Amino acid sequence: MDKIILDHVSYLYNAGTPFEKKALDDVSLSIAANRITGIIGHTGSGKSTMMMLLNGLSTPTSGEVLLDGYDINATFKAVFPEWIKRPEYANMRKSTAKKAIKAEIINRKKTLCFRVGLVMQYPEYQLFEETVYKDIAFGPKNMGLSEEEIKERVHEAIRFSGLDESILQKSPFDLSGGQKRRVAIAGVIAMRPEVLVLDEPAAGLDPRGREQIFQEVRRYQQATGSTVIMVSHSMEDMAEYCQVMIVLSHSRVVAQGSCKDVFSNVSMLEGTGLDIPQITQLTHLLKERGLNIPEDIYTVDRAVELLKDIYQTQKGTT
Amino acid sequence: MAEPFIHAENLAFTYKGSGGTDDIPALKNVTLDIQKGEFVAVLGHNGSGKSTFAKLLNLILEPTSGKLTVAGFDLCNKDMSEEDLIALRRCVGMVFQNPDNQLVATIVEDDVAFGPENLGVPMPELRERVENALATVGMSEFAEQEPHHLSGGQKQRVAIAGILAMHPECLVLDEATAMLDPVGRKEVLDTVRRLNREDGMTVIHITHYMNEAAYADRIVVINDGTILMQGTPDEVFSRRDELRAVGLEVPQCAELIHRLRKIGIPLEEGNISSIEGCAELILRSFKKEGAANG
Repeated sequence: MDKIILDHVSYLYNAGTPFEKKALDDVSLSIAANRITGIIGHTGSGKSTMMMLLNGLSTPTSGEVLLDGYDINATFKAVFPEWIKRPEYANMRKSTAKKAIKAEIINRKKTLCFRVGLVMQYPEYQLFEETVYKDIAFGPKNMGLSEEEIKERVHEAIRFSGLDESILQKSPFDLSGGQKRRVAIAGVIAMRPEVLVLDEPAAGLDPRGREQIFQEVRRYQQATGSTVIMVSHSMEDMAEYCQVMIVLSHSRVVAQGSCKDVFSNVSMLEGTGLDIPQITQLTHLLKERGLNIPEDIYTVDRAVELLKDIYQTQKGTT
Repeated sequence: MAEPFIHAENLAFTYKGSGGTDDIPALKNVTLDIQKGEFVAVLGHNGSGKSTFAKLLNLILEPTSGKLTVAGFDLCNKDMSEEDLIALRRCVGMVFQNPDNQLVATIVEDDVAFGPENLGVPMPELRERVENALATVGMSEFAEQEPHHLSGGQKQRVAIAGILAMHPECLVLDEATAMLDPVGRKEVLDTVRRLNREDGMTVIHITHYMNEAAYADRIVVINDGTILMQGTPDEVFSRRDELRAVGLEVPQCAELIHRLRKIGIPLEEGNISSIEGCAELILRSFKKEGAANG
C-alpha cells in the first residue's frame, strides 16, 4: 500500500527571480507503508527539499503531496466540490458544511506535523530543554496529551533509543554527540508519527554511534509498523537497513526499487555521484576473476555465508 | 633527518570547567611526529580528542601542557607575536564538519576570496586563485550563486575551496567529508591526495569513514585522549578487534577477511585496506584449495 505519493511535484527556490533554482523537477513517486525507504542522491540532488515537503514544512511550487490519498496542501476551494458530497457533510446546510470543511482542513494541517515526524540534519542543535525528559515531552505536550500519556510516550521513546532511563533527568547538554542525536530522534518518535522522516540521521557519528541510530529507527519501525523514509550517503548503511530505495539525481528520480534493483545498476549509480557498497565492489571483482559467486551481495554477513559455502564445496570436491 | 613538520611531545589539553562544572581533559598525553608532505588520517570515536588535537595545530586552542611545534613555530610560547600567529594560520588551513559555520560571504566566489584577500593577495592573482580553487573542488559553475542555497555537500566544497585558495602548506580536514556524497567524497580526497603528492602539501584528515582512512600513508588512532595505535592502513585494519573495542570498525573488505579467517579459512597477510588487495587474498587461498584437491 502507498502511504505517500508525490504527483508531478516541482519545487523552485527564489521563483521568479534571476536566482531561480529548480530543486525538484516533476517528481512522481510512491512510498510504501510499513517499510524503511532509503533516499540516495548526490549533494544538491533535491533530497533535503523533498524531505521538507513531506510534512508540509515547504509547499511544492507545483504538483501534489498525498498522505493516505489526501493532498496535504489542499485548499478549501480545491476540496469543497468533492467533500460536500460526502455523507457527513451532505446533510448539513451549505453554510454549516462550509465551516465544517474549513475546520477539517485546518485540523488536518495542524496534525500533519504529528503524523509525519521530521528529523532534520544535525537535530541535536534543536535540543533546548533543561532535562532530557522535558525535551522529549515537548512534542507530545504540543499534541495536547495528558501528563499520564506524555509520561508513557517519553518512556517508550527512550526505550526505542536504547538509552538508559536514568538519562531522562540529565541536561541534554551534558550528553555526548551520539546520545544527543538519539535523544533528538526520540523527541520525534514520542509523537508516534505514522511516517518518520530522517535526513542524514547518522552524519558525523562514529561507527558505533551510527549503528545505534539506525537500530533505534529500526526498532521503532518494527514495533509500530510505521513508514520510515531516510536519507543517507552511506551505501553500506542503506543496504543494511532499507527495504526500498529511491535514487535522486539533478532534481529528478532516476531509479527506485529493492536494493537489488538499484545496486545492480552500477554505471547508473556512478554516473549520478553514488557508488555501491564496498562489499559488493569486492564480490563483483571476485566474480570477474573467475569465482562463481552471485552478484547481489550487499552485506558482509551474506558475503561470509556464501564464501564459506564456496570454500567448503571446493574443499570437498576431489 | 629533517625537523618534523609537526612535533608533539606529551601534549595535553584540558577544557576548563566553568561555574562548578569539572575540568574535562580532552587530550592527555600525545607524542607524535608528522613529516612534511605526509598524509595522515586520524581516527577515533566521538569525544576521543581527535578534533581537539586538530584545533591545537593552528592555535584555535592553546596547549595546556607538553610541547607542540608546527612549521617551526613553538605553539606553547604564550608570547607568540601577532605576525607569527598570522603566518602559522596561513600555513595550516582548517576545514570543519559543518559548512554553515564557516561560510561568510553572500556569493560563492566572494566567500572563496575572503581568505586570500585578507592575506593581501593582489588582483589578478586573487581571481586566479579563486578560479583554480573552485575548479579543484568542482564548483566553478556555482561561482556566482548564493552559498545558503547550495546543498550541504556543495557548501562543504566551497569551504574547502576557501582554504585551498590560501595555499596552505598543511591542510587539516576535521570530518570535512561528513556531508558529502560518495563521489563528492572521492573527488575531494583525490584532490587532496593530488595536492599531497604533487605539491607536497601535508594533509591531516580526521574522519569517521574507514574507507577514507585507507587513502592515508599512516593512520593514527586516538582513544580517550591518547594514541591507541598507529601504522599503515594495512597494519591498523588488521587489528580489528582492538578497533571494535573502542567503537570503531574496519572497512567492509577488511571485515570480511577477518570473519573468513575466524571461520577457519586460511588467508595470508596482505593489502587488506584495498578492495583489490582483499580480492587477491581470497582468490589465492581459494585457488590453492582448489588446486590441492584438483
